[in-house]
Amino acid sequence: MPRSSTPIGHRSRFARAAGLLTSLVLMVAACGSAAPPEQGAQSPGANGTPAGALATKITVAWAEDQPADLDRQIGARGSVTDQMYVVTDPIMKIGVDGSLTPGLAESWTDVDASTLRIKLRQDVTFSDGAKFDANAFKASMDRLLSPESRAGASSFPTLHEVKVVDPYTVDLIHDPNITLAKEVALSAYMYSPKQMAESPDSIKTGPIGTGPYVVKSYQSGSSLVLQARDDYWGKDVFANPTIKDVDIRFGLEPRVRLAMLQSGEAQLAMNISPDDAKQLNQDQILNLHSPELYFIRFAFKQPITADPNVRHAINLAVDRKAIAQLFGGLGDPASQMWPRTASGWVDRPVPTPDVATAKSLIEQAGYAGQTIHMTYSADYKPQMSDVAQALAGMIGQTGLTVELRNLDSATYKTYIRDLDNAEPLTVISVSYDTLEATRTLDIRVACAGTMSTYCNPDVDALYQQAVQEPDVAKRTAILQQIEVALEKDDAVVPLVNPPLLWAKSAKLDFTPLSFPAAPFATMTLHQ
Amino acid sequence: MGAYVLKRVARSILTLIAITMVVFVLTHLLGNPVAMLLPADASNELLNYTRHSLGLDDPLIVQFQRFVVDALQGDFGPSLFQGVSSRDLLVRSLPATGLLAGTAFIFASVIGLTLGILAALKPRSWLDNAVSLVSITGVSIPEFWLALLLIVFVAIPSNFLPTAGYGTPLHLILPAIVLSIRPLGRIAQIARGAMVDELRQPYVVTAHSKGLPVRTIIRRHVLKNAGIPIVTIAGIEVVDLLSGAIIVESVFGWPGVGWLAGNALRAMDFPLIQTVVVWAALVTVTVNLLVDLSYAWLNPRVGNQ
Amino acid sequence: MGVQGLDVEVSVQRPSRGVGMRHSAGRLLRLLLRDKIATIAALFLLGITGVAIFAQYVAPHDPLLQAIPDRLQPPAWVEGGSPGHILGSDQLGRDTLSRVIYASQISMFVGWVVVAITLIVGTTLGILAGLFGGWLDHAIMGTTDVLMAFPGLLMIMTVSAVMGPGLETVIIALSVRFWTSYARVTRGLVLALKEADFMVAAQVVGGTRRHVIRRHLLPNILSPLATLMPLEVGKVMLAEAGISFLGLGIQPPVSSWGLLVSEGRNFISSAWWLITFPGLALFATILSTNIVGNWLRLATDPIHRGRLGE
Repeated sequence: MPRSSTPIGHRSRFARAAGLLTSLVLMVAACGSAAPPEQGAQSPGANGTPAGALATKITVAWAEDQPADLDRQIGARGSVTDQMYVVTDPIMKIGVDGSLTPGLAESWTDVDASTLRIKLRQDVTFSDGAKFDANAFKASMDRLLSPESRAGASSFPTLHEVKVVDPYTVDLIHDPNITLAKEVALSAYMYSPKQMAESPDSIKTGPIGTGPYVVKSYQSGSSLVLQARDDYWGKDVFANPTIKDVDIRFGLEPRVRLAMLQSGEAQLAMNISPDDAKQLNQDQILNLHSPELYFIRFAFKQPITADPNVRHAINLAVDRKAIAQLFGGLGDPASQMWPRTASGWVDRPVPTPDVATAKSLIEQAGYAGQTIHMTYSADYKPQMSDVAQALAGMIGQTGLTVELRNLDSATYKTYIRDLDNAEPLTVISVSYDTLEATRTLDIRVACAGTMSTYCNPDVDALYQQAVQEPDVAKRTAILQQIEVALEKDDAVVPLVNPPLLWAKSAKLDFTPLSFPAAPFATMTLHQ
Repeated sequence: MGAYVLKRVARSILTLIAITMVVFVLTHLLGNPVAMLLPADASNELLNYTRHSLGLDDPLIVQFQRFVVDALQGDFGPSLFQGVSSRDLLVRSLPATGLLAGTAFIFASVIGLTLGILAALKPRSWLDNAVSLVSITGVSIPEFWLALLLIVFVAIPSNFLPTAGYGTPLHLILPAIVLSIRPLGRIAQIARGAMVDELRQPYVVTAHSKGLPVRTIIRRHVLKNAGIPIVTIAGIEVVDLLSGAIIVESVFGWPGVGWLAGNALRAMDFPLIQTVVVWAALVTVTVNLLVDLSYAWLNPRVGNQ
Repeated sequence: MGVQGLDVEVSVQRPSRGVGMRHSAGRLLRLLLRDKIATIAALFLLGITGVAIFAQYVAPHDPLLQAIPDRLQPPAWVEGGSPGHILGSDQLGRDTLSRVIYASQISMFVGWVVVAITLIVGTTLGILAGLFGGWLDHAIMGTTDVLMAFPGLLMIMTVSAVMGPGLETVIIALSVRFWTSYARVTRGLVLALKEADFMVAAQVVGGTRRHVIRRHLLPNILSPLATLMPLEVGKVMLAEAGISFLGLGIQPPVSSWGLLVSEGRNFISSAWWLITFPGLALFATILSTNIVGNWLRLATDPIHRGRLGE
């Protein structure tokens, strides 16, 4: 038997063939190692300022949701929206409690029920030198309201037209809508009219605004670098940022974001899961209490859920506290459609489950042993799969058998608008950008709502009243009436307000001013 | 030989064309990508406007013509979800996959070949058994499980190895290990089997009895003949690696082609899916072609068929 | 020595030399028992199949029984665990051990069903290609070329994305992916056999095509194919686990081992048992099928049999 203990020689043809393959792969690998991506700070705090001072550079691991480009006037919404508040200034600022304070607008008032008049500041310039005035405002708003704009139609559903009254005053003509000012505060991005006229394509990769930062570089899907500008008009008025360089990374998996934070490569990580949060110190976790709600939508066209006994039974069977526990103990069980912070909140306790009554209701209705379908989308929102399975178990205790169906995000988004074919039960989420109940009522529970399977003319009438009622207290009362009506009808099953967790380095001082802004201008990062 | 090469190349091209057709059909069966692009509460007008601006409401034949033109240029259009050219996205992700695949392949081949050949030279020894054990374990272990185990029991406690991501050599270690296990196992298995078969051939015994030194026999004849199955398996492994190790890249957040493919499929991103699948097919067909052609080189008899 | 069962035949270029021989069950069994590792693997497979079939008697709890207050409990031997959940509980309070046991049903079901389908389809097409040659051969082989040029997981994922995930989709997608190896092997065997003496003799004697196929061709093909099957089962199970892991396969609340690992992925920082045990079950099963498959290949190949010490 041949015996050899020496390794292979190199001159055989076999070795050459293998070598050919290997070198092919090596070449590709060489390309890879020749161009490593931009790396963030290698060690925490080494950010290029004299010792003892504050650090000037921050690396942020952004959440997954980010759109194709930076043009917030035309492109669809995404969480990249948020940091645009630092390239642009908001027309008004929104506080954590939902109140509005002056921004680029000095003051605003309702001339009549369909005209909102805004007086603009006179000392504002864009970073390319263009002046911010009424014409600039109108130019940006027109672009937002144009048919190509994916953001405009959903951001300003009631706005018809913007008129220039004088060089620093504009009129917004609109359908009755009491929350228009908030919508303007949230979504009216002002870009330089000079850029719009001369090179509108450059807006996608570097919009020019009036804010404290400018876009230094941008690569869609991977990174955005912002730089503080020295000639910011609002240094004494708005903010004088200590952080000069903002390095934002996109497209990172949740665990990668956490890993970057833990290693010090990033100082802020967005949207981390409650499970991952357990690995960090408590003072590193920011629970932003996003005004979001998961709820069950009933299909009123299906006989089983058209039956009010069935709906009530399901409402009784669901254990909201248990569902809230699925979010690492950080979710808030929901007793109604809108969160505590929204106007229109009714002070009532979270209902406790009553399975016995639920069971007898189902029996009486004659549905014991029947199958009921529930649709959800595991990848549309976090933890939806857990919530759906938990619900299936809870509703199953009433004698119904729940059959689950998981749709991918794309199909799901189409499905929830297909009202004629809605399944009896659908797990949906709704978010309250403006902390105003009316903003999403029209979509979710109004007769004509694009995602609404519920129709109650009384509720619709109340809703119409609410959008026209300028007095806050009266409006709140009307909204509360709506909520009471919804509850009586078992129109939906509110489940839980999920937590929105960000993680920050211990060296970062950051108080969220309002959801969802990321005010780099007001953060301080210690060495 | 020339005729063989031509025939073989022609077959590859035909296969590639067929694949592209299949890709077109498949992606158009995928459903409605427009809903994915827009906010959930977008109006119907906006949906229709977007669908029209993307050319998705053109008749199928028009879309197919456009597709063929795109395919010939290698550019299937901008990613629906990210707006950037799909080809750019693919090209941007290639270095990451190249680095990972290259490292894994080198590691797997060198170790696998060495182990396999050494085992063949000492059959039924403890070394042989150990190699067999390693190779069958490598072939059987689910990559996603191994990846997660390493993350939970090595990366997280170590505070030193990153649990995911891309950018430093440290990030490369765990994904490369996971990705190389299966190829290592298979290459070792095949190499050993091929060597054993060759070593048993009558000519080896004859040459040995004639006094030729063992090393020469191996180098000049055995390796060349055993080369065919080894190159085949190497080719198969290269294809798998280069097409993007979807699972490994996904678990480790490694931004390569596999990761891109996973995202594209989840997002129903037509142009991106088309780009990735056609690229992967191109790689497969090319490597298979090279492997087949190398047969002719290794064993001239093949070339004269 | 016990590990001869780990050898593998290089069948890439050369068809199995076991063509034409019959193997008695008794002889095989005796061979098996001599190889300790292969015996253990075979016993494990028997065991896990038994567990899958009798899951409702073996599992301590209903796998769908939720108890959210008991969520994420560690295994019994870790601090915080309890004997009520030997391997811990998941994010909804369901018992891990029971879920792993019930998941074996799906994982193994998919494995065997897909192998059965691909065996029948692939063998039929392979025989047709080999026997009749010509354009049929080109068509079938061309199809396999195209299919094999798609990277496996990518193809499965695309089919699943098109059809919508679920059990039926997984079976179809995996069948589309894996039939080609049977077709190729069968075709190769048929081509080799076509010229064999006994085949020519049978035709000369006047047997019809169908008779020749049934009486002479099939028996000689079945043996090599049967040795291929356990290895293919392993590949199928691995592929199903992979695609379910990525979310495009089996859907909750039904579970396969791959899906269990995927669900556990959200809790790797806090609940390591959710990925460890389902993955371990999967690994052990695939390892066993590979060991048995390799051993079977050796046992039915007269050249290698000598190394088993017969």
